Amino acid sequence: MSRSSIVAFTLVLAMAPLLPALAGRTVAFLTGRRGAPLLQPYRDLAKLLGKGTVYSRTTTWVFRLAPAVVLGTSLVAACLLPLDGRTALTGFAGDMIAFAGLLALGRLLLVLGGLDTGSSFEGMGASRELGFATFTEPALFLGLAALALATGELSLGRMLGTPLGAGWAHAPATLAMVGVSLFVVLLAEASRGPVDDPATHLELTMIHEVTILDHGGPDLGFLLYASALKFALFGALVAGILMPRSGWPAPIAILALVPALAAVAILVGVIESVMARLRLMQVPQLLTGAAALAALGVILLVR
Amino acid sequence: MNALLAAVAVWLVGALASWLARHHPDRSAWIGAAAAVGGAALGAIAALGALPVRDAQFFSAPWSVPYGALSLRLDALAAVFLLPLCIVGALCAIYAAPGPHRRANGPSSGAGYTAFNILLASMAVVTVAANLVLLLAAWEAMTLASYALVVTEHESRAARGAGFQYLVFSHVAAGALLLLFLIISGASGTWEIAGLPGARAAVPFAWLFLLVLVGFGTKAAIVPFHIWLPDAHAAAPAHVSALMSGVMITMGFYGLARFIPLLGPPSEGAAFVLMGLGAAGALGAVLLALVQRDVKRVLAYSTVENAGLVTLAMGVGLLGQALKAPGIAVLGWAAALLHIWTHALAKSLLFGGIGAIAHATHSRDLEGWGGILARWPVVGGLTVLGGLAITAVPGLSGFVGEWLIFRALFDGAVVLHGASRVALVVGIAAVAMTAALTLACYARLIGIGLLGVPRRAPPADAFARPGAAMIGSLAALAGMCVVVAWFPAPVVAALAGPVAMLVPAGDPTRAADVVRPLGGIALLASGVIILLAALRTALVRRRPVRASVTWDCGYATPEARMQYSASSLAEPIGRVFAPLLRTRVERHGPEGHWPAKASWRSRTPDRTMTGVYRPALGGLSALMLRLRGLQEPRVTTYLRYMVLALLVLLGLLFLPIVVRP
Repeated sequence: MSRSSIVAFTLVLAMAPLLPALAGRTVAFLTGRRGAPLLQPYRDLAKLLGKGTVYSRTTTWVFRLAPAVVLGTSLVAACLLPLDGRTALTGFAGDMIAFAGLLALGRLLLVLGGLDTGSSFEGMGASRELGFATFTEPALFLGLAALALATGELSLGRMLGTPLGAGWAHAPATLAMVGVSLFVVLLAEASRGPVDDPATHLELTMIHEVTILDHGGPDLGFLLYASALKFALFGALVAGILMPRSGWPAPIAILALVPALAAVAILVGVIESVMARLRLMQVPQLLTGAAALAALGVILLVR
Repeated sequence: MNALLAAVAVWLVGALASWLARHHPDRSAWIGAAAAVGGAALGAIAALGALPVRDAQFFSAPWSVPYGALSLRLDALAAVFLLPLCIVGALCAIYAAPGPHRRANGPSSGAGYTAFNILLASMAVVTVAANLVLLLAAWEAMTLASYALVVTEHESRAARGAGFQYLVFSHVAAGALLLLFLIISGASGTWEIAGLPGARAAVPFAWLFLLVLVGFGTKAAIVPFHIWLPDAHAAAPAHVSALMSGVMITMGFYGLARFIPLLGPPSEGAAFVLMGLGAAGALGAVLLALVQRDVKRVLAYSTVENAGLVTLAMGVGLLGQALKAPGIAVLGWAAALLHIWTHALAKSLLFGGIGAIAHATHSRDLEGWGGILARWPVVGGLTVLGGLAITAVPGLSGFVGEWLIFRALFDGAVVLHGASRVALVVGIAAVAMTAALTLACYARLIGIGLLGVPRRAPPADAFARPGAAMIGSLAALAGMCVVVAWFPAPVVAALAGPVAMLVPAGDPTRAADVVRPLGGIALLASGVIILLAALRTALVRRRPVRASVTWDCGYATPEARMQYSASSLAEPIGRVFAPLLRTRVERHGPEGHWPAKASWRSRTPDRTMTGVYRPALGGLSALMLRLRGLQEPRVTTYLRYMVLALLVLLGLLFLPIVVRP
């Protein structure tokens, strides 16, 4: 736990809500609208945290616990990523498995919270969330395996730290493929287009938005923030691979995260504006493609 | 060793006593349960004593059976299987202890406890038998006792069918074991296991490995030999399913761990076979678990899935040994043993909880369940915990086992090269997909089954106050699931003894060092979640909190049947994997101007059954029918056959390939 990693961690926590806003703003710009101000998510969060809430009589403690688990697991997962480009807040050999496991726990509680309401809207969202995770999980793990093979390291902090620079020297193709593959995983995990449509409020087309339909007040605030944080985490992961910063001076390495994450968010916005949301049955094909790309990256490293 | 002998004696005496008292069901059940717990306590003492010790303890007594001897050897490898047997066995006996919640099995409970105690005793003897004949005898007793338990509800045709199928598969496997033991003892000239590694059989390694795989793999529910398991688990009472699923299948893994090293030097090919069967089996089984409607079949297929993961981990261990990478071998074997432990805890908890709910609602149909957690908070809550524990999410035991499997695969992929590296990365992807599907499977079981509102009205008296014995046993299992996750290092350190036996060249303490940080992550995550939950409570304290209905789009008469169903939840995944699953759908859509009736029914058969066993068995019975033509109602025909057989045997003597004694 170094000082620069604490600063970077705080920075990512602070700017996470900016990313969905930036992506939305990009979509608005490209479609000829003005869009919501960039600080709107912060206002929304402040408003939600100050509100009361309504609980369905169907729900149990699972529904009430879910937001805390979803946000808590994302926060702990953030501790495992080297956000300043060199060290994570905490880490150990094999922590990338814990990273995926924490996000899986968040997903499980998100889905259970949705199903606890007994609504078929939430059921629909839960079903899609679970179905797509079946394909993002292998893609994520294949990407991590490729990183492990390229760097010879087994922890996220070390994989994305110094050895990655050397990795670009002898396995550039693999790392580029993994970067692209994990970007597709980001689109699914952060519930962005063409996998999900964060803008509509039609239950039949949504995934994440519909799974949290019955949450309100601080609960909804927690969930929205956790979703933004997940966006930031995968953004930082992709940026960490494509732009290894371990050799840079600490302040620059941390500050470089701002334009890097902004670039990821704008790219997501561009993709959302130029592509329609995929039909649900085509999403597994996209995600399988991402997994195949990562697998190709692994094959290049088989000796 | 004395404690173990006493344990076996207590179990056998308890079995006999509960049989003698069978006409007084309550008394008989009390005697049986007390004996099971007492024996298990003694057995656990023996296992804990032997687990860290490098030297084995011996016991020997003469036995009148040819080639047999009552020789026992209690070593660390036996102890690692004996310990969950005792813990889960005792808790299952307490769970099923006589009480108001056990009405259904009342009349046969006395005989049930007899078989239960014999099952415990025979499994304990399997782990310590040092003589092949004794091992085979204990193995057979284990099969027969568990068969008797599977057909507890023998009034039902399904239970009898499941029992018969189980018996057939077990005996084909026992035949393979008999053949294996004849070959290896013939080559080494001894029936004592300790003397076996001295001589190598003339039969190629591959054949011996196949016999081990069929013989022990059937009990271990390795795909494709798993087919008996789902039916048997669905038919058996909950505490029996828990014991069979958590413990009895591990006897198969005990056999694999004990006998594969005896067949010859560790082989890369055998490792790849185990990894392939494990990965493919885990994936296929979890897909089938995801589409089952019967809650106990969901759990049963999940057991097959976990058996696949253990097989995969054993394959990694063997691969490490074959390629002289003891570090990988230690992680692989430790992962396999740890996963056996964590699965035993979580799966018994789930079978106990789900079984109690099924008993209370008189239904095993997931589509009729719902709203259990709100109506039966303690049993429901413990079941939710069991679901989380087996889903391998941080903070509960399943994660530690699965993490170690992943860690062994990653370590191996980085260290090893060539084909092994490819196999290990494929293993990573397969386990990752299995993990995601397991999550979907248990999100479905808990989310549809326990949350929401009941889809079918449960019986009026369904949610009576659960018995203290049942709650206590489930809570003990849940507590152990939490402890393993929060303090993984001491638990894994306890596996150092057996791992040192399996991988003599490795550093057995490595696995414990490797998992140590997981406890920290579990504590950190729990702490952060508790803080956030407290923050949420503080935020809403002064604000209005209202209770209302679930958002219904203003629809006037929402109904429980409008909830998402288990089938629809799994449908998108099922559709993507349609080429593998081959789900059959019968639909009769609404027809005409005044449609009266419409129906939709889907069924997903196990393709190893429909694609392999059923055609093969069909062919076999067709052949047998044709051979019936040889029979004639005349004595002279049979005399002619006898002469013919003798002539053929005489002729064989002149062939050079036959070995004469």
